[in-house]
Amino acid sequence: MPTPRKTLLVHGGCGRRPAVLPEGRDEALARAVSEGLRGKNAIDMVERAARFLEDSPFFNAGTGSVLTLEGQVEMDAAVMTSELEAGAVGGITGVRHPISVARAVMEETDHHLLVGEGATKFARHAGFPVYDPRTTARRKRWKELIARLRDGGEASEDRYWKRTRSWLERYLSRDERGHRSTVGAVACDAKGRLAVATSTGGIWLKLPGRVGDSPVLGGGTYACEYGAVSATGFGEGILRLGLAKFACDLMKSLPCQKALDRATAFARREGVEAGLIGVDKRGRPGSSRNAEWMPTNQS
Amino acid sequence: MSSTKSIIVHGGAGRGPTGPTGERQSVLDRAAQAGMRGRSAVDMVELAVNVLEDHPIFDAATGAVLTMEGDCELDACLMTDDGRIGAVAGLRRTQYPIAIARAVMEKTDHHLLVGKGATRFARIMGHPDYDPRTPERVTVWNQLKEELRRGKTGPDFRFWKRISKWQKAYGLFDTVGACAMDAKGRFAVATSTGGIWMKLPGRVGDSPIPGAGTCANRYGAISMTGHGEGVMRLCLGRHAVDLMKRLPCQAALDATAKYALKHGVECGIIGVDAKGRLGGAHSAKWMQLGTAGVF
Repeated sequence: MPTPRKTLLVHGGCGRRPAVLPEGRDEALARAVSEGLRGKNAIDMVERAARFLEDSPFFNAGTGSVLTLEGQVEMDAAVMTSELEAGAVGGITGVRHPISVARAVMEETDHHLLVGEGATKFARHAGFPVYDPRTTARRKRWKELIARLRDGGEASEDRYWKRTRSWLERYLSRDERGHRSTVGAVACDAKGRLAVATSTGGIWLKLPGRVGDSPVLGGGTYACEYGAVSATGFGEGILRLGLAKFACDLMKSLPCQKALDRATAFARREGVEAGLIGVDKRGRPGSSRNAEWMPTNQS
Repeated sequence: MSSTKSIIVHGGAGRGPTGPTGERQSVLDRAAQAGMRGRSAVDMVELAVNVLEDHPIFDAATGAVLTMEGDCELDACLMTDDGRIGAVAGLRRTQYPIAIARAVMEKTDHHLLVGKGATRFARIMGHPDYDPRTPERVTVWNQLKEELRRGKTGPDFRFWKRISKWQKAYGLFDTVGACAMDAKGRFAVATSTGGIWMKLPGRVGDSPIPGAGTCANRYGAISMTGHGEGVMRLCLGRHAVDLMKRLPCQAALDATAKYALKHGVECGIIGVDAKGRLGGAHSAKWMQLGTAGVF
């Protein structure tokens, strides 16, 4: 078998291409790759890349995460390796780098997934300081969306989110979702070890506590001996289909790109908009989408 | 094809000191009977799981085991053959977590609500505050806490390897679940659990995760119990229902239990396939099941 090559691939979500791309967004993806390449093994590489994207306000992860119906940020993140080591957090609040908390779950606990206040408490015990990831732009957008909902408009033109208004008054007794900019990274290191990281703020005006596909092993994040995959798109659908696991399983018999294409075609047939990046055990990268647009960058 | 209305329930698997008991069996039988009173498959699994959630010997709702901090954090998931999903994780102080999972499925755009958000949602849906802790569980919690103290490890996050050792000693995988097919040939699955003893607050296992401890697709539905982390990283639920595409239920479950064992994961699994065949298998020492139906 040929020696695996060191590979790193990142994505910044999928969806409709915005009319105007914010300046610096593409550069951020490129810089995330060069930052990630400094990692000495696969898990370091994906964590470094994801941390960089979490810090970038262009993406819906860490700083720049979208807000819940209540105007808070609740983040989801997961890491996994080809040795089936895994760590994930769901609905974590008040941290700067959810992906690093996920890695701490993997390395310092007997568990794979911590959620809610428990996840935040764990982060504090593990030494992650308090941090507010809400940006001015996101707060402003939240106000606009809430106002639009109150006026009887739709917060989203997206067919997936139709019940938001019915919850508005119940949660707020006192929205845009077009583009989903979850971030993800997959890597293969020189020893052929694979790793994946996915980090997200979820969706605009989600009900508090909502967790999507990103932190769910086999949903939006999966790695095994055949490959590693990070997904983005319609979270509930990706979760239902187990899309990352589906794509990894296909890599048992198919090269990376073919496996990802087949997985996104399957998602399309099921009415689920999705984008995938992956790497197989030989270090071959791939990306595939059934959405209009998915910005990626690779080494 | 004529459909047969039937249901199978489980109340955990393991190698605990108690082993299978008559009491456990009678509650499982009662739960299966209760499930048969439901019309739709979703009603059936919910009714059956309600009985098990109410009974204090099982690790679900009333009788759920306690976290490191002495609280109950409940996980539940409901899934149907046509891809509808509702799940809650880290839900607190609620009598019927499976009912909240069903409300997530029927009333929201989401599949999974966790933590404080899940509890808040339960209250908004009209489910009152309820303390699921039983005196028996509180006693055990106090003992475990003492053991921890004597072990001089203290409530610190660096010593969790020890805790998994206790879990093995106690051998308590008493998650509950049900798979059912209704008279119209529709099928569904429900799983409910309190998780594991002395889990870190916020820990979520396989039960509420679609594709892990609970899974359904057009080929079949399964509910699992066992070492949650292992079930999760192998996506065993998905593995089992995918096998049902070409294998009958029992064969698919046997193959899944074998695959789990190969990876050192102790678990139990029940299922129903699209032809209404029920099955159960495990890679633990024992697993008790209840079934009912018009066979």
